Amino acid sequence: MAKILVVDDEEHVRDVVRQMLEQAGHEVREAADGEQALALYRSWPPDAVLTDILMPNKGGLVLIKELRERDPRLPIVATSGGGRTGKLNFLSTARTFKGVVTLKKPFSRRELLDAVNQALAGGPPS
Amino acid sequence: MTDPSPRDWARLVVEATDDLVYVCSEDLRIAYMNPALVRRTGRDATGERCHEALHGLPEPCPWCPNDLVIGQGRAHTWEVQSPQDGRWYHVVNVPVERGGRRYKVAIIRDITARREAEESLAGRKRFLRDVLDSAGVAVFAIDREHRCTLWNRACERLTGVRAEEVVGTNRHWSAFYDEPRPTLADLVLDGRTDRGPELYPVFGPSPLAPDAVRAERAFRSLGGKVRHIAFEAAPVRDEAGRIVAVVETLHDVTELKRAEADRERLALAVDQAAEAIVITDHEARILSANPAYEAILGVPVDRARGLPLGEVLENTDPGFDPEEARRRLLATGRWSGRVGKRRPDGREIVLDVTATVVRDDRGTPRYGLCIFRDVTEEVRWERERLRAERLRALGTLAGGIAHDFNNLLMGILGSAELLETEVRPDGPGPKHLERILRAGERARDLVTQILQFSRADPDGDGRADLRAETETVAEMLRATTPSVVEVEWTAPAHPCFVPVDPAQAQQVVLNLATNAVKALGPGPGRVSLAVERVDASPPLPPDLSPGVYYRLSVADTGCGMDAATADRIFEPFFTTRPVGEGTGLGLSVVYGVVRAAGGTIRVETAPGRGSLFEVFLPAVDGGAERGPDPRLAPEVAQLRVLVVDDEEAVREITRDLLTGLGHEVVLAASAEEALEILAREPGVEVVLTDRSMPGIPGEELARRIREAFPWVEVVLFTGHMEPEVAERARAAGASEILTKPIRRTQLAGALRRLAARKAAQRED
Repeated sequence: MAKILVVDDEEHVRDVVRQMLEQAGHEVREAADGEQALALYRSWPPDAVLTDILMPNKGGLVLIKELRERDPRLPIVATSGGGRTGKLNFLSTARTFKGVVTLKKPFSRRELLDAVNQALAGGPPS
Repeated sequence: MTDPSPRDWARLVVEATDDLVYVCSEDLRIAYMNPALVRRTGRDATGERCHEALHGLPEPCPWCPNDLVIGQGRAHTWEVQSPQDGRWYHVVNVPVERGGRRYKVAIIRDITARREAEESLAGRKRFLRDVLDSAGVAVFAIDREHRCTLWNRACERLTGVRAEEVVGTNRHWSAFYDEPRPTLADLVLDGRTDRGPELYPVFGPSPLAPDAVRAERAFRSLGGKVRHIAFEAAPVRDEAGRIVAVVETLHDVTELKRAEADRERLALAVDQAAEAIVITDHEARILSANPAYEAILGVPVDRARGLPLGEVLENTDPGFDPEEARRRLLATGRWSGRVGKRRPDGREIVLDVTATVVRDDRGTPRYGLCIFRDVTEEVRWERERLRAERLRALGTLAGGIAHDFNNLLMGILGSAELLETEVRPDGPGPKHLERILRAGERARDLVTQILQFSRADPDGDGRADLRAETETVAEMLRATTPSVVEVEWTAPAHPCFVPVDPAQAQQVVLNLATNAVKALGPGPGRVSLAVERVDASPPLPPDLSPGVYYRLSVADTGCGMDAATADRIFEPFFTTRPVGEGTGLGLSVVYGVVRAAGGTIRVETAPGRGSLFEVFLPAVDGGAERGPDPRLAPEVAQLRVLVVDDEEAVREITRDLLTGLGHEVVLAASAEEALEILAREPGVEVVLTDRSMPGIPGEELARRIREAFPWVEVVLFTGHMEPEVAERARAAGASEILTKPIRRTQLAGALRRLAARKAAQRED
């Protein structure tokens, strides 16, 4: 149904998410960090991006900012399992980007699909 | 009988007198000797040569005045000591003539007794002067004419004025004063001692001499030194009781006074010291203590007197060994340490104690000196600081673990979900999966709570009314607890807004309140919920930045906690309840919520004495005393605002913030566009613009706007708030300068001020 780029540094998370999305009929490609994601974005422009926030090599927030520069209307879902230091609430920061849907880890299949659908439909209700 | 003739009388007198009378001729022969002289010499030597008969000298006497008296005819009176008998004689030689011959009459009186008397008087006088001069007391005296008659050496040394300068004058005052002024002696002489109190700060009768007076006075310079002098003046009376002189003594009491002042200062300092200062006897029984003693230990000094120092209050520190302290004190003469005590009113205090043995000259211990400093608050704050530090470290750790845990759970839960469609529905698979999912869910909830504890930034723009939250919880407690539990609730009459999500605020209040109820156990007791506004007084906990806070206190009369428990209750997974009854996360979540909101929490408790939890949260309404809150009443501040920024994201965020505050928003991506919009839409009242934009910078835009549309207020955003930036912006006509990143409260405050100004302008 839709081309979705999944970005997470944890392979098992990418696996689970990919399978859930594929079972729902989406086409999925994976990237392990922001750099890979941007490279893939150029060769395989997705309909939506689902990205972790806390990653090595270009974190999620920078990725979101750079994706938005390329396509201001690109549907984005930001996921996070919480800050490593407890200092920053990354998800609430991600929310300041308009239209970004946030999703707390761990999430269920239902929550994942809802979030992706919402992003594809134009972002969270304001 | 006829009276004797004068000649007869003359003879009678000469013959009757004790004076020795003789007449001798020019050739030194005795012509007459009176009976007294005959008696003295033992014979009548008439006709003999006078020097032989009277002095036993073969030649005329070396002192013979005959040449003068007979030769020149002059009378001569003189005194001479006879070499023969060593006695003194007063001699009157008178020339007489009879029958053409010249004679010398000699009338001699023995004055030995007088001479001796005279000499001993002079000696006594000299002796007395020597005594006075040698005395260590400064003395001067005046006679009845106020003339100085005596000024002894000590007086010279004390005043620096020499005797010659004042003795014989009435200028003795000049030794003391620049202007003429009666001295104490003058007052006594004149009977004007009534003026004493006016002339001397200290004045009174002398304790030693009956009608003498005493006075004291300080001199800035007497004999070249600052001196404090005590004077005594006593009258000297003659036999008739009349004052013939006044003697005044001067005592230099400077050192005495200085020591006295030292003692007074010391006494005053001890009296007003913040530390309790106690003097004990050599057996550590309290002799005296200063007022701080009662203030700190809560025991009146009179009640403590006589008690052994360490036994006035109960020790609360089981590790403290008073016997050991005493041994050390006796061995080294000094002991210092920290002790915990319980006051009679139940308050526990911590004292820093310094004890010293005071010895006499021979080294024998006489007294004990003990100084107590109340460090209760310091210790408590230090403990709280350490606790906060430990909790922060734990939070960091927990946050890190939570992140990784959530990723792991993602794998577990996600895979379990994916398996649901894979396993045979009729086999045991679905049951196993269900168990995995349930356990995973519980793990997820735990991690969420840990994250609540560990996070340090507030979550969004939530705000809760502590008054409403506590009231709800209080009502809930009343409804659900047995009637033996008394529930109290006090709060200000107005809402008390704190920057916490309402659900979390309720979690905080409910958590503390249910803990309080549980601490009561099954019996009767009381739970008190209170909200009050605090700023500097009572002193805020040290880890809070200055400001206005709401203090939520939850107190119970329950079982209380020991210090070790109280120290750890905010740690995640620390619980006092049996395994399975609590997660041990409740208070850690409360802690996380409070810290994230910029507040703090502390606890005061002791076993059997109940607990008091105090939560301090910043008052986002300024303590409801600074007028309506901008977030509460956006409608009064509604404005049409044009936002100018070249970055879309910033424009968007700013628009969201402004619409959230109830304002109407127009956006512009550049200064040019902004000017166009302003020309087109006269309803815009405020322009928010970034300072650094490509093309026309913010200050230039502000200037142009103020020129073309003077009714429009300009708010400038800058990344760096330096004084010259602010100055340039103001010069350009900006009404407000705000720093990036844009914060909601900052923006709200600025717009509220602008709205107020607009309203005022409309009224004009």
